[in-house]
Amino acid sequence: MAQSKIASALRKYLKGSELRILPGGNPSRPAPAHIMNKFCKSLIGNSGKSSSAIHSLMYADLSNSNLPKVIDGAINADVVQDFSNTLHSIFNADRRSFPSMYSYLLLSKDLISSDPSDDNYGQALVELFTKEQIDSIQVSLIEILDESKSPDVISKFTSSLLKLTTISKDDTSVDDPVNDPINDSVEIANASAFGDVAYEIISHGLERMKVNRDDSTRVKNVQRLSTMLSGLVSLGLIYDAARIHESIKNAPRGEMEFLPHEILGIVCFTGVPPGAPRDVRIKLATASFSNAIERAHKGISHVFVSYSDPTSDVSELVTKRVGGEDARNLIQAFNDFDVLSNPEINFKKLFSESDLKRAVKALAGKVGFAGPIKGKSATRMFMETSFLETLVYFLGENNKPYSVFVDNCYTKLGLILGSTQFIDDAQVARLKSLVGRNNDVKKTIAYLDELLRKRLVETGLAQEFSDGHTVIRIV
Amino acid sequence: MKEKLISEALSFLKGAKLSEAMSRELQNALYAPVLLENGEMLHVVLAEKLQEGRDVIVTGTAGGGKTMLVDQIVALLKNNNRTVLEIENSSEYTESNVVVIRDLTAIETQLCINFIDKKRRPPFLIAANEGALMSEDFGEFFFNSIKDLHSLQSGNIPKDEQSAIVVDMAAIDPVQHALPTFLSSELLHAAVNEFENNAGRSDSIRTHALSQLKDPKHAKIISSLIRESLGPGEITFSKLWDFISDIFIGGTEDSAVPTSPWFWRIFYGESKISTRISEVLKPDFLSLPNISLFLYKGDFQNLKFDKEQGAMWVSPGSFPQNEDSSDNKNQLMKWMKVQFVIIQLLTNVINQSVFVGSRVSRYSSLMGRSDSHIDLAYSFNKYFRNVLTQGAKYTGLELWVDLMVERRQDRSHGIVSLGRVPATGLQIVPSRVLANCGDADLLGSRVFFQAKSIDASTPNPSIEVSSALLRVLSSGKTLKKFNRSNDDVELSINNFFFSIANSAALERSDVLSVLHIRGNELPTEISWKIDNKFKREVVS
Repeated sequence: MAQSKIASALRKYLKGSELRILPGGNPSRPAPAHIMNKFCKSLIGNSGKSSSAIHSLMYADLSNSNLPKVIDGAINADVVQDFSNTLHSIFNADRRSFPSMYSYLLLSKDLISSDPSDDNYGQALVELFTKEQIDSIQVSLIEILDESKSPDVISKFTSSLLKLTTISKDDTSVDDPVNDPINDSVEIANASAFGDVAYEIISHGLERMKVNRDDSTRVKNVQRLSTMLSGLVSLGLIYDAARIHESIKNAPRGEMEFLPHEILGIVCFTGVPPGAPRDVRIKLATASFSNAIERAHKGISHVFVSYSDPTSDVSELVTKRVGGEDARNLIQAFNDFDVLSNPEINFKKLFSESDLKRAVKALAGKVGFAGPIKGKSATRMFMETSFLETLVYFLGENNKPYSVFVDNCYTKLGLILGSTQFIDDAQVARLKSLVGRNNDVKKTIAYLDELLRKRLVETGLAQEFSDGHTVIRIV
Repeated sequence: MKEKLISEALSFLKGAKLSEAMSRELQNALYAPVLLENGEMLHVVLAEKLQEGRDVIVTGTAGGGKTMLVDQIVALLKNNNRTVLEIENSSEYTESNVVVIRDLTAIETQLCINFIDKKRRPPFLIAANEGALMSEDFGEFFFNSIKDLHSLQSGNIPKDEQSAIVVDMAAIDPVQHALPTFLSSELLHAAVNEFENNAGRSDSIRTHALSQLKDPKHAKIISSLIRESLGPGEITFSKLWDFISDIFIGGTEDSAVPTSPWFWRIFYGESKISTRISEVLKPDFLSLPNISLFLYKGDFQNLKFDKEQGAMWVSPGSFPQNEDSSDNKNQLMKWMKVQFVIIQLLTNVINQSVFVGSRVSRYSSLMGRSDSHIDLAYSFNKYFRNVLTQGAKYTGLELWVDLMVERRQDRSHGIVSLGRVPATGLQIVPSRVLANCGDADLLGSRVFFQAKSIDASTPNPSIEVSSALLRVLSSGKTLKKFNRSNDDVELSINNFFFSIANSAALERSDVLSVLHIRGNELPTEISWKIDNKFKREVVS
């Protein structure tokens, strides 16, 4: 397992390549709330002192000078505790708020914080986009995070609280030093392949959310966006890397762009998670996930090797790309593992396939997109109900056959959820090579298709008609 | 009665159960007219509407009675000297009063479009599965009808006289509408007699038992018992015919325990419906402490039957006491108990609650009482609060949502209320069968819990009262750990609550409430009135 410091330095070492999202030093830490906050902060800046004032109220302290400004009537320990519990239930249901840093459910843009716990995933996601893409997302995001017009009581409470704490912002006990102007910290490069994929999905969802920006569904949409961003980051960790591997492996194709299903082609278990390990559908899901990780790791390794000149001096090579403590850590590691003598082989000592898999599983697991979280069973991608609902929201078409949703997951994200006309013989052959002859891949995918259809109907995400015709229902 | 018709009815009982397999004469003889709430017959009303120039679309499941209904309408139109053009693939278009498409999927799309796209055309009568109407090939042609169909299925009644009348046959409960007619059908009883005669049995236990059902009142009582045990859902006509065939001509009389009588087969027959009835009503648990001994000994004097009951009793040919095998003793005892209870039911001595499982069927009880929506709201509230004391019972519906995004083993420490709907804003409604048909109305077989929208043009937010929902509500919500088996239903509840918050009138919309959960302790409610500042409200 890569040491935290080496992983962090390695990410900086590889920065600037096509690899935009890579695990950092603490891959198990980032959570949806962190990523959502950092994503929004990178796009529209953070809130300054509003959120920190609320933060100070969360930690029930009778001496907090803001209390009389927000609470009417007698203030005693019970009242303060109740107010704290209320704030936690609304803004901190994910329990990602601590005395030193916090990431809230973003019911308002004024709640955006600059918690570094996202391990840079949120910002890296933004850096995938072009300037035009950023502008477009930015506008939508500001509308969706505007609580002032929503009539629901949760938004009303948020709005009132922000007003009351804004008045008293000079008195806040926790100061937030960071208030970056929009985009100042974001490096805008050319769009990456995954950037285009992620943009299309996010902007489609945001457009849909804008329709409901002035009703109660806004609250639910904030939850959905948070879930989707983490789902996308977990795929982003492997997407561009796997794409590099494919382009090297299939060099004769030249400039012809690879499609998402050629890059990922991950089979998701569509039944109720986590599924039985001996189930042929689980075996196919685990094999395809492992294969995607393996290919992505090879892609990262390729970039690393391309930077490594065996004739170079290690110090010179490293300091060209990173400096300070990161450089020292990396030089030490390069020397310890004798990396430059055989960079292709020794790279694994710096960063293994398991490191990558762990990072993807840690984040995807937090939104119900991979697991199992407990136990030793092999990792596969699946969909807990909340993630399935989010995926339908972002990739489904209301009143269209559920097969359109299956097609979209395949063509836009490279996820295999069921039978689709777009799965060609090459894909089937590839999957067959992963699971062996005994697993009839086409039949297994057809099973998954039916499992998905039934599950969509049971959850109310689709409606089944008397002749089996099933259409997506987006609430 | 014509012998040929009786023979055809017997063949029908023995073979295919789709109406396409019946002669027109048999169809007419076995047709159980669907009665609207005002007592009018559905096919008569639809024929009148077609004559007035209205289009009619009949949708529903295969075997759901679409063809039977269309046949009846066509027959009526012809009787009224209307010309009917039935479009088939080879049809040439000719002038007519009404155009009929019996199965939309069976004809070429373009042929259909050519017709329905005409500016001047006679009204049409189309039978189609819902999926066929939604085919992309038809573009927007049936868009409004599909919308109306979905409204019907959610308990709303579209009333646009400019749109096609939509009939959702899948919402019609054949058990309620047709079973009493089938059970007491003279033709079917005659067919069973022929069946027995063909087998050389002149006075069989089967026919003797069946005579108990000849009285339409008796048929209605048995239909009601069956209806209670099945609950909402789609029992198709074809499934019902499987059941009828089985209880009329299934089983044998060659064993010590005759399995041919209908009262035995409704519980222990070979159809899916009888399996379900048996699962729910649990006839094995019939407890008759005072008369079991008399039944065991065959001591009928002590059963104290009146004349009518005595005439109805069918002897199995033996008594449990006379049987050597313990299996036969038990089976015969069960047989006699079932018959005894059925006769008591038919003669109104007892009601169906004698079956221990009858209470599990909550659907009809939900529909039968004026305050059932309060009961259901209470079940929802109790689910989220974990427990409610009687004193704190709120009669409306509280809209609790969890704002947690992450998937964790543990639940969040609190859930938040989107508000609450007073009892007056709630209702339990059945699905509907008819859209855009004036005052004509017919209740469907599915049940929905709804909140009334403020804007009358917005459909009421609704959730289907399914067995899965009732299971989850009765199982309760875990406080600390996630219970993933309830996930899917919780999602549908969550979506229902958000829809309500968007379109229904909420009480105390300026009060934010939170249910705070600490460890395994019961949740505590915290409420804040939102004014210039937040004022804590003490929750009693």
